[in-house]
Amino acid sequence: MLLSFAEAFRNALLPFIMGGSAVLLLLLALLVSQRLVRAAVEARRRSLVARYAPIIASALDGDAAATAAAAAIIPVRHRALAASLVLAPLHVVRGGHNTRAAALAERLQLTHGWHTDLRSRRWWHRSEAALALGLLRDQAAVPVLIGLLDDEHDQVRAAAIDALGQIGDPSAIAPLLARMNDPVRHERARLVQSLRAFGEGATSALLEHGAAHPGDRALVATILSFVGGAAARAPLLQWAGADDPETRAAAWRALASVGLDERAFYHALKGLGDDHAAVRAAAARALARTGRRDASPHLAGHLDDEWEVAAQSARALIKLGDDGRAALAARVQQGPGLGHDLAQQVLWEGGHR
Amino acid sequence: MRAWISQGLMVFDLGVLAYFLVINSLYLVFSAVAFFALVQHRRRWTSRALEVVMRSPATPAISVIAPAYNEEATIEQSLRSLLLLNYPQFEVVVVNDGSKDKTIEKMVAAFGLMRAPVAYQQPLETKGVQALYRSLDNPDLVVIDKANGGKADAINAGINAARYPLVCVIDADSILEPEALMRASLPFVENPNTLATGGIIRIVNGCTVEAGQVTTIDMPTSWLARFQVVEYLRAFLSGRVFMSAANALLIISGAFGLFRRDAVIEVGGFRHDTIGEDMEIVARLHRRWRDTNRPYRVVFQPDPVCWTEAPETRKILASQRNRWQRGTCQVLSYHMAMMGNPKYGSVGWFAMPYFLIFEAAGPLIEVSGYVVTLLAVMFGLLDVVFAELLFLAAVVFGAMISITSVLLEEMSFRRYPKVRHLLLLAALGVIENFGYRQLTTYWRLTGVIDFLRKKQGWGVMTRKGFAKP
Repeated sequence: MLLSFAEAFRNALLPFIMGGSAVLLLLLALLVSQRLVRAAVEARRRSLVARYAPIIASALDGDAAATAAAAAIIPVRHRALAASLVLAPLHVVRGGHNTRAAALAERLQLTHGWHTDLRSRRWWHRSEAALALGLLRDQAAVPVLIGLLDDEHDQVRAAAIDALGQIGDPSAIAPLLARMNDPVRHERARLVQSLRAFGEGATSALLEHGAAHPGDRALVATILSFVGGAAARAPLLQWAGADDPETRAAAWRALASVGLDERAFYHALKGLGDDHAAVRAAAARALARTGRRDASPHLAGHLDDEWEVAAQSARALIKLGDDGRAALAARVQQGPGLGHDLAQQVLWEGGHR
Repeated sequence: MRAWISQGLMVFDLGVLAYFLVINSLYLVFSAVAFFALVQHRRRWTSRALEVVMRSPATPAISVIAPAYNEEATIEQSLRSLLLLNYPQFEVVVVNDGSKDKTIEKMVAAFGLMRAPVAYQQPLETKGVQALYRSLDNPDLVVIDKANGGKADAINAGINAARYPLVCVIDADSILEPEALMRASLPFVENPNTLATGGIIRIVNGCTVEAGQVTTIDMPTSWLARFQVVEYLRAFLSGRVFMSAANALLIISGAFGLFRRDAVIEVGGFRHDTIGEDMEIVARLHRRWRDTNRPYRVVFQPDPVCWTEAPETRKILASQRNRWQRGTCQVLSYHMAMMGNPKYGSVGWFAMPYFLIFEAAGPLIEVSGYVVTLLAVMFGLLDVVFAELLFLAAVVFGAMISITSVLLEEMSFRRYPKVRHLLLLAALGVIENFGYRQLTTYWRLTGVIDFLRKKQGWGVMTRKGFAKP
């Protein structure tokens, strides 16, 4: 009885398995062919790249005949591909390439398309156009790009930020700074990156902005810590005496990278006595960069301050040579406490480097 | 006499067959449900929708907790990629669980860490915290140095130090994709009753890893690891998506899980006397919230990806499976009160019995089924038709399920880039049912036996490190 049941069972199971396997195989075949179609499209694209890349490369090297040839042989429907080939080298090199690429893009009627695309309804068109015009350093695009800083789509905003940084037009600095209150950290990081791309040339525009907008000084100082030159020292020193502790701390952080002169050095020693820990910590960090031994007794007094200040002081002392080392050793001798732990740690690390 | 034995064997065999048919049919149902769930999920969470959520000020901040024990080979790179995660506000808390190598020195040197006072509330009891390190350059990095107490203890110490409302528990060697936190945190944004979410674990063997990120996805070269790729797809895409849809998810992998900090503290943190602490905490959350009649959910999210290294030698894989099996058995034994109890909803009447029959007792039934059938057929006590049936129901049907999972992946995430990968995966789905699956069943059986004999302890996992030589 059981045996016949088992046989009936097998006879029922077999068609189910066969049918199921057939369905699965069919589906697999379908998915494989879908992939193959994709691969074919990709292969076609690659062959086109192989055909156009040499012409565009020589056009970008300044060959006028190649420029004309490129305009003649590349049909309109392959324009997107041509655009990517024109722009590709700009991700890596700067300088003369830019103007030649801009000329070639103009010739291939790409530039006009991008300008139109900046106002496209499709966000990816807007973002691609912004990136392209940024790479070409198209000054004419700046006003529209500034508008795109408030675009509803994040990738468009990011593209506009990048593009403005690359174009480096000073009129973009104020709107870029205005966006620095963005709550998303990545976007802020991108803005700082973009403002850094302006380089030292942006120092005076940044300082002007800071002078006119005292509320933005902390931000401006943060950016100056990346791009600022010696010209920024005096205004920063003035901001280091601001009422707002955040501005004071940011100013000291910026001064640390700009470098301290004699006057700034004494102000930094005074900064060590600030009411706010963040300011004291930033001042200690700035002093570390001077390498001046006469700072060590002042810094040694802060080894048992709040953690942030104490840690910065310990780090600073180890950089001040024998005097700093002696101050740290003295603190280790004095017995337990935060200063003891920190001093011991930096001395230990110093011995291992 | 012989007839009686034969009858008995037939009844036993039909029982085993029923077992295989039920588990494989269940998986078929899981896959069907998962297919619709995945399609819906992908339609809903486009990157546009994701971005809107991420810009909302309600996005909860996350403390990522990475326990580290003797990880000097990989710690720096793992940490660097963790700090690059794309999420509005998060911190990384590394817990050095009394490493015997230079894990802590490596971190101190690489990130400019400075000792800081241990001054925060410690609601969970842990082994002593010896020191706390903070970074001067990066306020979002905290390193805790504590006495060795095992992974669960380290996680608890990390939860104590966490500043933010959500804690993300990962292995120090896990590679999270940059969007993983964002995608894993969505259920919490959607529904504040969410207690925990887990993401999919994929196998990094064979992939190219640069600067702590997977840059090129490829299949492993080792066959043992290849089988595990299919195995993971089956477990995550079919199994967990379904369990999550039924709010009966019992496992969130220790390699990557996101929890509400207050919930974990309320249930007393991770339990350190079990080897299945990742499953145990989830079971305890279910139990506590059902006991107190509060609405809650535990969610599996299929797209936050955590890449992890799979064992490539039989010995290590065997010890891993043995450990998992013991963990499952332990957790089930702790929470027997929920078994079949309708008070605990889908966890009580479905997930717990499912785990008891198919996960805990499964290896026992499967191995005895194979052995008894083979021997009985050889000695003429059973008709060959039983062997055929077993082959169809266990091996061939099993292969269909594996292929279904591979197709599910192809239709949803399609992470493996080449046609070759798809074909290989499909082939692996078939091949793994001829030997590999039986082998893992055997390893799991040793786990059941060890559990019954109350064996404790960890397996070993040697790490190669991701950096290219």
